[in-house]
Amino acid sequence: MALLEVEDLQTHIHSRRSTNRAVDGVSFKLDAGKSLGLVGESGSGKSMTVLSLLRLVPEPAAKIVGGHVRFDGEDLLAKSEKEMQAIRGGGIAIILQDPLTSLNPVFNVQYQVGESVHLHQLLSGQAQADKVIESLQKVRVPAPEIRMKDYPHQFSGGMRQRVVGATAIACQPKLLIADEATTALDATIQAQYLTLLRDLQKELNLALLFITHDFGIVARMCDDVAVMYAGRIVEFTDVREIFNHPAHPYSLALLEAVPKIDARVDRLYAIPGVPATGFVQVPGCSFAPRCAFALEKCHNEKPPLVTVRDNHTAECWRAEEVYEQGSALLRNAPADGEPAQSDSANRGAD
Amino acid sequence: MTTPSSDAHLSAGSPTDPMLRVENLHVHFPVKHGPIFRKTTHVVKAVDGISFEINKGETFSVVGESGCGKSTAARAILKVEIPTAGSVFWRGRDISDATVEETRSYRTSVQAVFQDPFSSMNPRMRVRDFITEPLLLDKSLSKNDRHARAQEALEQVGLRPEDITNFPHEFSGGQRQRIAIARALASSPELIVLDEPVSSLDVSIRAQIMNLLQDLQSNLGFSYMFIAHHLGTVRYMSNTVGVMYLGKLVEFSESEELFLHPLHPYTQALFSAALPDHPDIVREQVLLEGDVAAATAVPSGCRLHPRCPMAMPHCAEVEPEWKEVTPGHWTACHLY
Repeated sequence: MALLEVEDLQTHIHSRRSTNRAVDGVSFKLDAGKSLGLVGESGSGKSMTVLSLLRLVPEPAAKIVGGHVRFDGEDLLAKSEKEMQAIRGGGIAIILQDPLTSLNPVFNVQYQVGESVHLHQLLSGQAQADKVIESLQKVRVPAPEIRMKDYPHQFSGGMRQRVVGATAIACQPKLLIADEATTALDATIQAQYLTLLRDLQKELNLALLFITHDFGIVARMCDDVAVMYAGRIVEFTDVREIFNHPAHPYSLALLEAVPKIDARVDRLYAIPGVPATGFVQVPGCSFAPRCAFALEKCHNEKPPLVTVRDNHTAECWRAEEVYEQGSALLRNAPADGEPAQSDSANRGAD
Repeated sequence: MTTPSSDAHLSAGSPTDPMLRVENLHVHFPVKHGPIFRKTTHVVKAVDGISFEINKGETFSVVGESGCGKSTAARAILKVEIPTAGSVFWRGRDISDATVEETRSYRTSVQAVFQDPFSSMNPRMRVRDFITEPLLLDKSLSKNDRHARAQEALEQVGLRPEDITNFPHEFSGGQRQRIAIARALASSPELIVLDEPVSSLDVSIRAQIMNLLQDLQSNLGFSYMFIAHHLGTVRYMSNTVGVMYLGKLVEFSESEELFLHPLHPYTQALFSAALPDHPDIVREQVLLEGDVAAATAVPSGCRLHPRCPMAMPHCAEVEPEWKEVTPGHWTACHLY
C-alpha cells in the first residue's frame, strides 16, 4: 500500500468577489522510500496541495472542500487538530524555501531542533540534547555539540538549511516534503544539499515529495513526477518517461522552454501567454488558450485522463499523438509565443 | 571576439577600441566601527581586479555564485559605484574623468534591467512616467517626443501602446519585465546591463523574455552585459562568458568553448554542480569543500585554494597569473 495517497483533493480559496480553485481535483500516490516531484509554475497549486495535506491551509479564506488524503493508512482529513499536530513534524516533516524565515533568530539551534523532539518524543534534558546532536550529525553539520549553541545568523545559508533539515528529520518522519527547499541556495551549495537529501532518504527510508518549478531537480532526485497546471495534475509518470516522451503539451512545452547546459539550443520554445489560475473557470482544458496543439473541442470539453503507457497518464485529448511525436509536433506548430497582452482574464495571475 | 587584457595601454578614443573596456577594476567597501572615530576595521573586496571588454552587438555574460562581485562590477559600469582602483573605458574614454556632458550621454547609452520587476518599479508611477523618466536627460526632446518614444518602446517589447497609462500592479511579472526592457530601449542604448533579468520569472515566461532580448539585439544591434547564475541561460544568451569567484575573474572564453572545455577547477565545479537536463546525465562530480570565504578575509595565493580539489602547495602562496591557455581562452590557475 502506498504511504501517501491523495484522491480528488479540492481546496478552494474564497474572496469577496470570486473563488480560486487552487487545488482542483488532485490525485497521486507516493510509496515509502520513493521520491515524487510535483512540478509547476507559480499559481499552479503545488504549494496549496502540500498545505492541504498538512491541513495548514489559511482558513477561513481557504477550505479543503473535497477529496481524501490517506497517510500510512489513516485519513488525514478526518483527524482532529490535536491529532494533526502529532503528524506534522512527526510522521510528515517539511522543509521550506527560505531557512531564514523557518528559523527564529532569537533562539539557538539546540532550542529549535530540540523543540520538535520535546513535543513529539517527550524528551528533555540530556536525552533531548543527544537527539539534537544526532540530528545535526545526520545532516553533516560539523562539530554539532558546539554549533548547536549558535544562533541562526551565525550559520551560512547552506548550513542554515541543514539546520532546518535537522529539525525536519529529528523525529524520524516517514515523509519529507521539500517545498522549493534548494531554490534559495547557490549552485554548489544546492548540489551538496541534494546529495545530502539523497543520502538521508536511503539511511532513513524516507519518502520525498519535492515541490519545484525546476525540471533539473526532478531529473536529479525523483522517481516519479507529477506536472501541475491550474490546480490539476495534467501528467503523471516516471522520471525517464517525462523527459523522453512527455504526453501532455504543457510538459512538452515546459521542457522545451528551458535552456540546456549540455547542448547548444538555437531557439527556445516560448509558451505564449501567462499561466492560468484557478480564478477563471473554462469549459474545456485550462491549458488550451496557450497550447500549440489545441483543437476546437479542447476549448469546449474537459479533456479525458488518458493512460498512454503503464504508469503514465496525461489529461489531454491528444495525449497519444504528443507522446508519439513529441517535440517534432511542436516544431511544426505555429512558432514562438505571442507576447502576453494585458487582458483582464490574466490579471489575477500574480 | 573580445580579449581581456590586464596590462594598461591607453589610446583615448582610437577607432579600434572596443565599445567598453574594463581594466583592473577594484571596488572595495570599508567596514567601519565605533561611535565617533569610525575606524575602518576591515575591507570587503567585492571586486578585486577584473578586466574585460565588450564589443558591439555582443553579449558578455558573467557567472558566479552570490557574493562573487558580479553585480558590483555591473554597478561600477553603470557608474553607481565609484571604483577604488582601475577604470572603465567607454569608446576609449575613461568614464571616471568624463565631463558632466559626457556622463549624461554615457548614462543614456548604457541602460540597465534588474532582477525583480516588482521592486524595480515605483508602484505610484504610471508606465509612461517610468519609461520616459530617463529621457528627461535629453533636453532636446519635447513631452510629445518622449511620449511617442515610450509608445514605440512598448510595442517593441510586445505590449500595447495603450498600456502606457496603466500602473505597475496591473501587469504580471513577465509584463513588468517587458516594461523594464522598454524603459531601457527608449533611450536608444548601445549597451544594456541585464542583472539576472529572468531569474524571478516563471519558467514559461523566462523563455519569452530571453527570446525577446535576443530578437531586440539582432534587430537593434546593441550589446548586453548579462549577469546570471543559471548556466543554461548563460549558454543560450552569450557570445563570451566570464566566470567570477570572490571578486576576481577566474576564467574567460568564447561561450561554447567554455562550456565544452572548462579549464579552471571552479568552473568545472560549477558545471558539475549544475542540475542535469535529463535523468540519464550523470555529471562527474568536482566537489568543492565548504563555503565561499568571506570577502573581508580573502585567502592568500589563489583564492580558491582552501576549497579546491586540485590545490597544490604553492597555490596557497602565489596568486596565479591571468594567462591565455588556448587562443581566446583565459584563466588564472597554476594548473595551466
